[in-house]
Amino acid sequence: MTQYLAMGAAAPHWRLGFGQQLQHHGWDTDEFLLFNDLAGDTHLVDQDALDVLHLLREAPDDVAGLAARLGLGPEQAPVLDALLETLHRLSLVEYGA
Amino acid sequence: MAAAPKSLILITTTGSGGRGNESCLIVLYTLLLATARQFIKDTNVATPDPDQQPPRLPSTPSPLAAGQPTSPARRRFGRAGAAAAAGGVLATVKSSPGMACTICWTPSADQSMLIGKSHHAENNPCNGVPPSSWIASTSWPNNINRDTFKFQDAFTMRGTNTDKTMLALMQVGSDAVCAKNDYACKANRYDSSLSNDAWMMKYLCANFLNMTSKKMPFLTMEILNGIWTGWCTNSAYTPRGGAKAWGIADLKRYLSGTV
Amino acid sequence: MTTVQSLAPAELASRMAGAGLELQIGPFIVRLQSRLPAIVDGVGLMYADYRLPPPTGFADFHLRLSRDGGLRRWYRPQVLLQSDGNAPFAPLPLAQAFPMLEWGLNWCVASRAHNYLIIHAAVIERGGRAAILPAPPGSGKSTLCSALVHRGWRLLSDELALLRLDDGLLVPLPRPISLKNASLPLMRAYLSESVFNSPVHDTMKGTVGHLKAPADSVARSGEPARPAWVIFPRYEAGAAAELSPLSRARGHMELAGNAFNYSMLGSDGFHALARLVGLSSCYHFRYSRLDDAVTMFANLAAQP
Repeated sequence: MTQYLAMGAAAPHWRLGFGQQLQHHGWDTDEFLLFNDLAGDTHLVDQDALDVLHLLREAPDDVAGLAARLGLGPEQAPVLDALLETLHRLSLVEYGA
Repeated sequence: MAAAPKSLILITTTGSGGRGNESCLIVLYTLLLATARQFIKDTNVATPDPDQQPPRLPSTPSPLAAGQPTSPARRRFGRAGAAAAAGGVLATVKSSPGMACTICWTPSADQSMLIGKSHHAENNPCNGVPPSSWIASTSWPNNINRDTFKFQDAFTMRGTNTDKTMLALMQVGSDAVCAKNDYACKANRYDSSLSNDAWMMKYLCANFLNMTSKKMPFLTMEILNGIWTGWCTNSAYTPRGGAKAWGIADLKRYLSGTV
Repeated sequence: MTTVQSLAPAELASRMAGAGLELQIGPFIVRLQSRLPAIVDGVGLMYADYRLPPPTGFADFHLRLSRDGGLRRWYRPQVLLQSDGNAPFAPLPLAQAFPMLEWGLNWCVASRAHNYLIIHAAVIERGGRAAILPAPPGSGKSTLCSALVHRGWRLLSDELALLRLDDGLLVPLPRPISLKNASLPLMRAYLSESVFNSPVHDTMKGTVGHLKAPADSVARSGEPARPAWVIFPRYEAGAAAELSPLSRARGHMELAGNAFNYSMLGSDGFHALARLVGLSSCYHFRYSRLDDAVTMFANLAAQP
């Protein structure tokens, strides 16, 4: 967890990584190419990842809020957690106040 | 490419770094962020613990967990299988660490292309000259006065010996004199008699002068300052957010490889 | 149109020994200087059909090949390549002069032509549609390419695909096709009417020889082509020819792994490559017999 934004006492939220524009391309499958503006990497991501990124761009959220917006149940919590961790490691999302 | 499992496909770029400015800004931003965090820590402003994990949803089973999801999103996340376990990112093509020129040619260069391992272009010719050449030269670029120009006149972070002249900093230790085409010699020109700090300053001076004299168009002051600042603060340099940090061995190989 | 073969041998040698021979290679003007017979003769043979541009004094790349100095001039002589006055490579045995020229030209383009997205791939064209064949060394790409460009396909490039960033077209860079080891006698037999130079032995890649690019491909080197197929070839002994579809997204990822300057171009490279795959059908291609491959590609070209 190296990308903390220390801005105050508000509850930490997930948000889209600073500078990420979500430039992406997709065609006839549910796999998408995503350009990582911070790292310069190109990722092959699935619909789940793209949906999470778009939602966080609309509004930062905590995990519970994000899950609600995705219509997920508690049994899908580990999947969302794993996804957020991966996106965080790739600097696609940030976590902080 | 196999279905689902994550894989890292590493590539290294070639070229003159004509678009390096964007990457340099990103590097600068990353460094500013790191510097800001350091400042904030030092002034005891309350910050969240960087090691704290974000709260997770409780994993208690729900009445709906019997395989009967009620929304499209719930169905999709549940059905993603192995891809979901991998976190939704199936593969990554990694950018180079922002350095268009990495190491100069060695005799073992892959000669199908003379560009390292095909598209993994780790070996690029560099037009820089070593510290000994700048010591011997009476004419430094941009009318820099070789007798008075200090390290800190170019590099922003100050510390021990930054008030010394670049000439003096380059004159420490011995500089292996390599024949023009003796690439094995160039690759091993590390001058192990010097401390890491002294070595870094010596070769940063040479790289600065090479850059200023336009011998290495891919190199910018942002990159060199980034290396120096990273070295001072963390004994490492991270070219981009999330990329692997370069330690002393990587930095020595890079800074000596460009000359 | 003045081509290299319009020069008398003495004139060719004189130009290369003096100010240099300027020739048009794809979109680049290359100035070559050398007194080495292997280079002069090699250029006269392999680049016979290449155009001599009007003298403007401008060249994109300047290459000079000479005997390395000192004692090496007499004992196990070596050839040194200089690019714009700098020597980027270690010298090689003198016998490898022509391969060194070819490798040097590859390096010039791959390391400096950043107005293109440069992919390590062969590019061929038929009926106005281009197929890109990306492949690392050893995949059989050059052998396959050699066969196809003598069986109905135009050669745009054997080694370097140049994708123009502004319009997404593939720009030709036809050059002698480099063949190695067992491919050499194989292709000499397969293409008995074609021109090969003398093979060079004991290079780091074994025995290396070159096949002259078809004259028609060189004459049309000013005609870019629209991409239509991305085909990743792989030679497998005994395998039946098989085309396996690949999704565009995965084709993009594999192409990026074969591109020299994809990262350097940042998001421009990302979008350029995405545009290319968006226009193309992507496949993996496995084969063993050249005739099967030729037939497979002909069938592909026949489809609307």
